[in-house]
Amino acid sequence: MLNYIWLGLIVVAIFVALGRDIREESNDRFKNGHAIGLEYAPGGLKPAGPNHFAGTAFLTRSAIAKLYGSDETKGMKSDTLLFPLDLLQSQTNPHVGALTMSIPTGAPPILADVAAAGGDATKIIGQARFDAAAFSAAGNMEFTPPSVHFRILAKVANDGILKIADTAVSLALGLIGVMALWLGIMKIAEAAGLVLLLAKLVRPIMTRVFPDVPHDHPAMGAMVMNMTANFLGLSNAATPLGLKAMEELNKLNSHAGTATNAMCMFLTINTTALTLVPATVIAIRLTMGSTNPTDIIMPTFLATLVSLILGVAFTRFIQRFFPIQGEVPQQA
Amino acid sequence: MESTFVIVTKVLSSAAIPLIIFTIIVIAAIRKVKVYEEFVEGAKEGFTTAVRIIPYLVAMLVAIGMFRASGAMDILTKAISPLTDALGFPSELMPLAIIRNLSGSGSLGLMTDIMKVHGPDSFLGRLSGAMMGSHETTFYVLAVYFGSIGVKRVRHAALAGIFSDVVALVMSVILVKWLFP
Repeated sequence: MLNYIWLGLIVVAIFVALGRDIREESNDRFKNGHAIGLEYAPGGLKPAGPNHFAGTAFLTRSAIAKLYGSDETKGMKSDTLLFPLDLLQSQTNPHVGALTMSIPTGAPPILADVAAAGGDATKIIGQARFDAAAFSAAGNMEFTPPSVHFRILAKVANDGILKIADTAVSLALGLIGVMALWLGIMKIAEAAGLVLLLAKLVRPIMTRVFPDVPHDHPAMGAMVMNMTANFLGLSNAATPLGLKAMEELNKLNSHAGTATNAMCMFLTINTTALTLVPATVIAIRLTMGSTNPTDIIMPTFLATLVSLILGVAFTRFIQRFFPIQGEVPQQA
Repeated sequence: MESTFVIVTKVLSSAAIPLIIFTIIVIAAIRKVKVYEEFVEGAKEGFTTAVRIIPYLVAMLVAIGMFRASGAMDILTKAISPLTDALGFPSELMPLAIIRNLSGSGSLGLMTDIMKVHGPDSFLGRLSGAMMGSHETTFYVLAVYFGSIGVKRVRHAALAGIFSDVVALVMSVILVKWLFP
């Protein structure tokens, strides 16, 4: 099942990205190679060093509409877009230079897209043609943004693949400390017989939900510890304890690499996230100035309770349709 | 003004971890367990467990990352919005309902955004909170839990997880509508 989901996500992502890119290419959405007219007020651009000017300029709605079409100006709040710019004059030709345009808030999406395609979403670096001698009066100059090709595929490669692969590793490595702590505490609790005691308390329920797991197996204790941590909202502790439980459940697994019924049931219980106090949500509502941030405890608790009960029943019901490979499905 | 309930909740959430650790260690010491040695013995597994889940996490998160970066997520959201509209589910919360199963930090950002725009005490604000609290990042849990023990054939676990999430989603809408008319 995960095979199909995984394949599906990737194939759909590539097709969607490719399709959107081809559409942008065929419509020439970015008008690659064409210039847009920037305007500046008297004294708006001042020398900032040899061959270097800085200041502010503006783009009018009509200038953007003239190059990109009026559809692209829909996101603009006002008719003019004021922005800081930085201009480096060429040493050989005083009428051309490299212009850096900082993207202000309220810029139309197309400019933000051009900037993002260039790697830095806050600015566009392109070529300008101008007359520096005329900067003391109001005027305009031609600005050619860099050409944009297949930006969505590039975004998928950078944001979707390379950055996320990195994030995944730091996420896993970031778990080491908390993981070590809770596995250590768990070991103490086990040695003191506390895990067994806890497991004994809820044995009547657990043996019904997990009929394949012997009631005195360490997996029972680990699962109960994990559920307790989840219930109290201690998600930091829940993951290491849950992984410990999976390891114990795997000791009862006769088909390595294939999930057992007990594992699937445990996962269902975990994903329903029965929680007494959804601490993060309450904290955020508190900072947003909610008059009663905890009033969502009731709906949250009841919703998770119902999904827990139905989820367990559903898991029990469908497990027969997913036989462990190489085994005849049990007759119910 | 903070109600007693808020205060109790806050005290519990800040005191729970130290209290649990304290209780376990003290009881173990009374029962003559060599606490330090046992702790170190257990903690040793922390590193190997964390490292073992890396390939599974990379595989799952990259696929989800590509799906989001390509804009396929937005298209999916738009495509099923007529169906959810017909069921009375607000279309503003559709992205949250989908991303909640895929990415914890992504959905937290979305919820915060919804509360900022509509207010934490509005119907959408409450519902986004209830959705956030009653769902788990199913695919992350699947990847990490099964990855840690090298299980590749997960059988009905994914389907069962999605089913529970849909039930929680439907129940959140019903309960928030019912409790906060």
